[in-house]
Amino acid sequence: MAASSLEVEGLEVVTRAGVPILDDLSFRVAEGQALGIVGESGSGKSVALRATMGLPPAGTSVRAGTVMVGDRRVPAGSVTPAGVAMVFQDSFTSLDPTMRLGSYLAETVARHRGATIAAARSRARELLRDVGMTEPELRMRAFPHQLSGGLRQRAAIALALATDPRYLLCDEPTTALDVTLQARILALLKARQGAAGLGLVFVSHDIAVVSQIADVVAVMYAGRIVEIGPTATVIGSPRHPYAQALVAALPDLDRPGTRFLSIAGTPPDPSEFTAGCRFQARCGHPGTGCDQPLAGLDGRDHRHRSDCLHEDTHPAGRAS
Amino acid sequence: MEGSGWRLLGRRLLQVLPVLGLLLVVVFALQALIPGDPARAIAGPRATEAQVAHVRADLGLDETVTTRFASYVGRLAGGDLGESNRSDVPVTQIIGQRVGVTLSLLLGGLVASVLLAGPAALVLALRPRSRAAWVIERVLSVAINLPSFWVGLMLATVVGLRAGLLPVGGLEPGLGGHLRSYLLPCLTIGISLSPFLARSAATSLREVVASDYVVTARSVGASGTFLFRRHLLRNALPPTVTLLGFQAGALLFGTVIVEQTFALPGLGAEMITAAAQRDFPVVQGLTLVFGLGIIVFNLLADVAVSVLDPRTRTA
Amino acid sequence: MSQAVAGVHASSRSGRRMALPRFHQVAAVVLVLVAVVAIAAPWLAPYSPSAQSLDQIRPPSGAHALGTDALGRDILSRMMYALRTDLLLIVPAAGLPMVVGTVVGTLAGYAGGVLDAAVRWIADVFQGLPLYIFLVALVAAMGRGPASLLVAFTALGWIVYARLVRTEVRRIKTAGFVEAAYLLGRSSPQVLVQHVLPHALKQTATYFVLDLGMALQGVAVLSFFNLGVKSGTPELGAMVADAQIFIRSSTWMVALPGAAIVVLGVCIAAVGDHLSSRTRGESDGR
Repeated sequence: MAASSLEVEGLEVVTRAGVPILDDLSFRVAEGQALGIVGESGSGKSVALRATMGLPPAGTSVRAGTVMVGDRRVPAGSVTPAGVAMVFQDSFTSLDPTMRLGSYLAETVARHRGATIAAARSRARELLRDVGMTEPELRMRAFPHQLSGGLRQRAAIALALATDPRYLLCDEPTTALDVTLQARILALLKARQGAAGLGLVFVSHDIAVVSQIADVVAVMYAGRIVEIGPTATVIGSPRHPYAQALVAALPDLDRPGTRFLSIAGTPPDPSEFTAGCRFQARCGHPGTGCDQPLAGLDGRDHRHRSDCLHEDTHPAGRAS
Repeated sequence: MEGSGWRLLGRRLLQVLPVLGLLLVVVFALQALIPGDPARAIAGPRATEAQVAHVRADLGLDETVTTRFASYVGRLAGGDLGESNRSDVPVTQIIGQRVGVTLSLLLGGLVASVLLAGPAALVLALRPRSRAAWVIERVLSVAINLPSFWVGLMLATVVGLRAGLLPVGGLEPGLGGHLRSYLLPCLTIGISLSPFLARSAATSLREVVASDYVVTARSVGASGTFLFRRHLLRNALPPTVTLLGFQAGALLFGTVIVEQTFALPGLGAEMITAAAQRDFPVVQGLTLVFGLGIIVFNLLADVAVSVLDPRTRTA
Repeated sequence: MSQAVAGVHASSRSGRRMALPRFHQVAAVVLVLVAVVAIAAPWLAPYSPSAQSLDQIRPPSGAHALGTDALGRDILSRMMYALRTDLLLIVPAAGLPMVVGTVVGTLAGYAGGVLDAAVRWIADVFQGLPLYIFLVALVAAMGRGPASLLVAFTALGWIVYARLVRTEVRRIKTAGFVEAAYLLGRSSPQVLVQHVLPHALKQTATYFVLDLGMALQGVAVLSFFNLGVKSGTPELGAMVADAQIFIRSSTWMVALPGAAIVVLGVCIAAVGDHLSSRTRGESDGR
């Protein structure tokens, strides 16, 4: 009865020096579902996506973990499981500057479907129309640098869709864009999720953006999921002090001008990761036991939880 | 080539003008460096007093520098590069007889460099931590310091004289003989140029391999030779060709060295002989030709880059 | 800062292991030895470099450790003197362009305006012209000999230094500590000498070392062409040229001086590369 899903279990990514950036990260997203992952830069959210694709960032490698696509098991570190595609943050650097859009899309389609060139090209036009490009014929001949930022990001999405994925991993796909374009791209992704039953994993540092698209939100801090739950619940009553701070930073339409600006301090460097709560140095109210080893939350379970030992003692909802 | 391609070429030609101007000035100014009486030096040791006087009048040494420069450029425009003071043969004729050898060496040397540098660059860029890369890095750092006249002589001794495999001096008759005669000289040029080429190609390739767009290409399933051909090579080539353009001078001087070492009748050997015998008109004319050669080589490199890299075409 | 810390780590690690000396250290030692041989050649050499004998073209033996050449001269002695000739040529051949280029570059970078534009223009344009060919042409015009070599190297070599120093001076001029010096009431020449030049010179010194290698190649190849030193002068490239007609029977006569050029070149490059990676590290860390 449960829809088929993408499941990542026990993902462990280390630097060349052996320092773990991610230790034992797990998450799950079902077809037609959108999982949002929120966290500061350096929290490991992008690394998690890249590692899931088997393309960890330069200088890092996947040491352990399995990726299940439906009931197919993909060993950790093997490149690009079929059925999963990724949209990268900066479409300016992530599209090959020497490739015309049409050839790039058609070659990708041909590779994945074994289609003829003609069929692949007509599929490429269809993909460009799907991502909302007018005049697809004209765009087919364009090089990436000839497109505007918004069109380029659409092209990047079309490229990812050219592999006929069931799951789409989106790494800050709207961060480089202005607010209007951001909304259009979000709408486009949501439409693909609805129409094609895509499972989306949407990563962003901006909880406001994530809340617009995600059914379930996971909050990451220093390589771990510290809070997870249905979007409305997490936004409505965050439990972890870090999640509370993120939510408090959302602009409040009822009380303009009361925006909580930032959390003091910076997230720890992976070389300084401890077994205990990694947020305690910046936490407003650390208590006893914060040094006790924590496992991090299992992101395959979408019920609302946090891994703060003292979640009941500090005020829920918006910190003032 | 599309319309924008022609416009680019036109722009490049405009950029070349100052280089051309400076080249003419430098070549013209060489005269001023001749110690003693330039007219006598140009006329050569065999010249009679009357001939020297004639040359002096031709040079217009009593005129202002600008007038002399103008008449020099005027003569050049008319295709007059002067005459050798050893043989009285016009410099243009000498060039015509010898340019073929030099062009063959340029082409052959370029091919040899690419054949030697290509595999080395691939190993350095794609397997940077391998034992092979370590060895190549060491070999390159020695090769970069090899004087090519000496490499040429040693190759000639080992491959040519000792093993008797290949000719080591002059051109053998016939097409096959020509090809065999060019083999060692081209290899010598290749050895001296390939270290630069291998290092710069490896650097560009490394940047491409680490780039976001290659990660994207791999994420949509590109791999193996397809990834290499469609994404890595096409992006790594333009910067490598640009850097090759910077090496044009070294490449050209490489032909001079091997022509002298292997006794090949090209422009470079002629230049060296003329320089040693103080045949000043020939030195001056050949310096100009070599300068023009570099300018053309750089233009070709620019055009090649613009064909290879779409961003430079419509930027 | 992090660069400096990393450097400390690396050196303390190798210190503890008492590892083999690094390549650039070996190279520096070799260069010092070469310099000593070059300077002390008159006392070290077993024979006079020009003393001829009837023992012509002899392979290495007890009397002549590296054999004799076509005129019966001792090759070991000639090589020692050749090192002397080459060092005495390449140090000024790389040094004069550095001095001229540094002065021009400093003035251009500091004064800006027309001078700066001119230096930049010349540097750009010369990049598209064949410097080695010019070298040959200049020497051909002036006649061979050390003076011509030095003039030719300087005429063509100053440009690189001028560009380098100009860029550096402009960069430093706008740096905080220089502006601070002005605020403290220092005059322009004072600031130039005390603050700007020392930084610019660090880069040129590195380049100078690498340039020694280029000068060596240049002097050797011109002498090989019979356009460098006067004939009879012991010089490595000229020795190769003199020996090349005997290459079939007496390969060692060609191999030895050439190998000496290679060893010198590799050592200079190793030291130069080490220096340049160090100065790069410093300016990155700043």
